[in-house]
Amino acid sequence: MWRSGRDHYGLVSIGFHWTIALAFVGLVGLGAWMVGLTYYDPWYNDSLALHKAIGIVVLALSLAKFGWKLVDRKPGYGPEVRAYERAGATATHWSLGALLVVLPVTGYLISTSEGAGIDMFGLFEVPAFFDVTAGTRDLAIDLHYYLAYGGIALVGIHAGAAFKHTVIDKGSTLIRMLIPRSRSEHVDRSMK
Amino acid sequence: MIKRILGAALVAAGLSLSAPAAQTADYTIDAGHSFVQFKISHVGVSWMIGTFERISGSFTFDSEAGPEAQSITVEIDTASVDTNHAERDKHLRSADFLNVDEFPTATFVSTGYEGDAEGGVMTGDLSLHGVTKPIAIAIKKVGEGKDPWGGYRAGFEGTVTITRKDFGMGYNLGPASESMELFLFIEGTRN
Ligand code: HEM
Ligand code: HEM
Repeated sequence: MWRSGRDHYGLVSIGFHWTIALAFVGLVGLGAWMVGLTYYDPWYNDSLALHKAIGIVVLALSLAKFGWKLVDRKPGYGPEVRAYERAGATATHWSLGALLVVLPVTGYLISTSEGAGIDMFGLFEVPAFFDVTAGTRDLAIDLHYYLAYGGIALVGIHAGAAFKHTVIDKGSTLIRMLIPRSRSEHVDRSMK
Repeated sequence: MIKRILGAALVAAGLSLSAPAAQTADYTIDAGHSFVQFKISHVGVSWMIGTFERISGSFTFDSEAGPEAQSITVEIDTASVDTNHAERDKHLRSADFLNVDEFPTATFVSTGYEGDAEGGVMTGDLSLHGVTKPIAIAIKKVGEGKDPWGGYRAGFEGTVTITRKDFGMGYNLGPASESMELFLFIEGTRN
């Protein structure tokens, strides 16, 4: 139930995955929208404040998720996923995992580059920990931009593949990331 | 004997070389003691102050000569804009404002001066954001004299008001923020 099994993800992994997925897609949308706002838009300031705070939450959730993965069982791929697809899926998952750290960190470096902290929904502040040089800041700005839009393209491939394995290959890929129970009967049926 | 004469000649030559040259009136801007700042209204209720951290240049200040002998060139690294707010500075560096990737330097090159050794009006061309336009800066000498480290310095302050739209930076910041004041505090060491 809580932990993952051989053929399905547990409730904790499922919770992490969909919370983070929703936040990630939302942050790309929010980011793209907010940079186009004009100075006189009522959301001009709040959109960025929200973007930063949610982004830090994604970083915290992702680190917690990595911690959990260390102690959780690791489900193998379903039989519908072919060997080369497994390699691709694993590479994609690792890349997405790296993005979940690198993106918020680069955002953090941009926003804290002049010493201001990140206001977390008015509750507390994440201080500026590093002295960021102008060169590092500019690198962070470029990385944040390209990795955010490159990342959302990767998410598209990732989600597309999940649907493909579920709908076209009639596998359990999506289901095992949705229902924290063993699907062995389902897998068996799909094998017939 | 010959050695001695040669020696004396060499010493004499050396002396004449090291004799103080005629004083120049050319100064190099001391970036560490010079500031280019701007002040612009924030939605009509207060002021926003910004600084360009990296500037360079030179000037000629000759109190003996007439106004036409006085001149200045200032170069400003636009990417060094600093308003104490990381995201705002990012916005100011972007294409909405300074577009520093395309226009990394702003320059002011004087074309004429009216006034005396204490102050006057320096006219010249301001190149900013790819647009070059004549402006007239009201300047005042702050002081001049020997510094404690063996050099000679002179300092000036100047102000000018520019309209952002004139330099292609019309991004809407509200009616009170169409124009902005530039402050130049320029200190130079005599060459
Ligand atoms: C929006 C639609 C998305 C769908 C339909 C989707 C679907 C899935 C599915 C079905 C799995 C399980 C794959 C397996 O069988 O092992 C999975 C795993 C994974 N997904 Fe997504 N996903 C989506 C978005 C995202 C996003 C936005 C991210 C992160 C940026 C992400 C990161 C991951 C990672 C890292 C894994 C590996 C398993 C884990 O670490 O928990 N996914 N996804
Ligand atoms: C997974 C997390 C994040 C994602 C997916 C993300 C995505 C984005 C996107 C798509 C943009 C718009 C880029 C553009 O078109 O110029 C953006 C901009 C930005 N993000 Fe993030 N971001 C994340 C986390 C963060 C964090 C944690 C911070 C700061 C604490 C942050 C600070 C910024 C800043 C300062 C900008 C630029 C705003 C501007 O140009 O005015 N981001 N982000």
